[in-house]
Amino acid sequence: MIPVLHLVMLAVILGVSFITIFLMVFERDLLKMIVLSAAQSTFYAIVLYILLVPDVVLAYIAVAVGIYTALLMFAVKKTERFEEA
Amino acid sequence: MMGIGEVFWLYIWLIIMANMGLAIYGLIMRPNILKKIACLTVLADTSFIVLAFIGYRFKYPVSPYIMTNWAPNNATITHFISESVDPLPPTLTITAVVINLSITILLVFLAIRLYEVYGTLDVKKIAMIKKELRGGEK
Amino acid sequence: MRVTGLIAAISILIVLFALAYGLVVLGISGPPAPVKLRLLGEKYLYYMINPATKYFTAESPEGVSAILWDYRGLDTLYETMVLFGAIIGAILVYREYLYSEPRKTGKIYGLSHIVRTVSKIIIWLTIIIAVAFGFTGQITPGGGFIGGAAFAVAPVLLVLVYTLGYARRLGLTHRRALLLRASFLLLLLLVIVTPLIAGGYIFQNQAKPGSAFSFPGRFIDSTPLGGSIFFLNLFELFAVAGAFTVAFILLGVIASLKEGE
Repeated sequence: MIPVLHLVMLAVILGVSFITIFLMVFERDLLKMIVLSAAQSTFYAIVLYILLVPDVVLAYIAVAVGIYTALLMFAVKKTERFEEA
Repeated sequence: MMGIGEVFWLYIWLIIMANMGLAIYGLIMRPNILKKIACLTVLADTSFIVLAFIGYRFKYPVSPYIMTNWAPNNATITHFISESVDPLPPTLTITAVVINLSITILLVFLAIRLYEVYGTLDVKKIAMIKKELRGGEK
Repeated sequence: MRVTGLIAAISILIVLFALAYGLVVLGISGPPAPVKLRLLGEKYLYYMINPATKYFTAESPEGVSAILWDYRGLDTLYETMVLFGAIIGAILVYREYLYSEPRKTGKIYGLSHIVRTVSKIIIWLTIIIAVAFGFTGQITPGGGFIGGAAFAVAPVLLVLVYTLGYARRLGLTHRRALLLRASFLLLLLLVIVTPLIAGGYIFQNQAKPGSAFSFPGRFIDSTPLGGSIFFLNLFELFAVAGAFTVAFILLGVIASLKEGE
């Protein structure tokens, strides 16, 4: 028997990230899609932190939450906002 | 038969597989190229989770792979190894994060260029425009 | 169209079921809920800062940096090459616009004054944190790739908040960023071939059998320096930062283009 609180946190946050990815894949508005993607990246960063890989967390937060969001928002501004059917 | 650690292990593997499946579905079935790029980043991120999860250990005093004792002897090293997670998967992941960023930059630039050429980012419409262009040339 | 979607969903489900079956029932990733380390990871952890095994130590208490720049150093070098290949590819897509002057239109460049003031603080903090990651990569989480990725936030903010014209007025051009990248890559290669010139092996860090050459393992107050790991982390930081700065200057060039151009 091992203390399981960190495993419970891991399971709950992974479940929430599944819901976020589901909403993201079926979202028509690309700006909302990007915001959901950033939320998913935050949950994944917490998961990586609980899995004890601090190096990856430091690189991942800057890249996934910051740069991907800015890059994709810039691309949406330059192209089109809504995805059709 | 199954301990509580095995139950959590199974549940986490299933969620990771489900996330991968959703990302692959979006990558294949959604028509917009920016949506495809976002799904590709999600797929890559899920593979990072997989790598970190492979190196994790289901025991309680578990620590990261960083030695805090700068003048170790054999006993402290043995104690450290008994608690630490595997350092090899995060090593593979770090370069992958940065290279994935550069690949995504390249893909976004190509997508903007594609929009300038075709006026749309919908792959079905792009295929139709290409078909019309080819028919017009004949 | 609906039938295609159904077929795709079903085939993805079949593939994932096969993967899950292999993982859980056949056990291709080892036993469920592993408690023991793999042998390879255990060896890396045993040797990375072990004074008893002087021919195998990397003098770095941080496992990832030790593997990244000592044990698997050549792999990392080739990964660096992949990174710069991707950046060069991104430049080639828009190379004809890279030399054009930013157009002077009537509208005011950049975002509002509040965003600019906040961004000024955040840009400096980002740069300081990124350089700190590079300097302390051998003792704490951090290192060249991580510092470079964190550094890349600064040019994004600079170009998207202050626009490209302001960045150029600061003296930040793509030529200078490319020069930064290339010079730090040369320094990286210099660190890699220094042991070879001194009569040792390529990518050598600490002394090996047959070659007594060794980078300094400790700082003067016996803080671990990791030998070549410290220098490689630092040079990789600025090389990656230069590469991403080029990429995001290109982002500013695209932003300054008009519609339909």
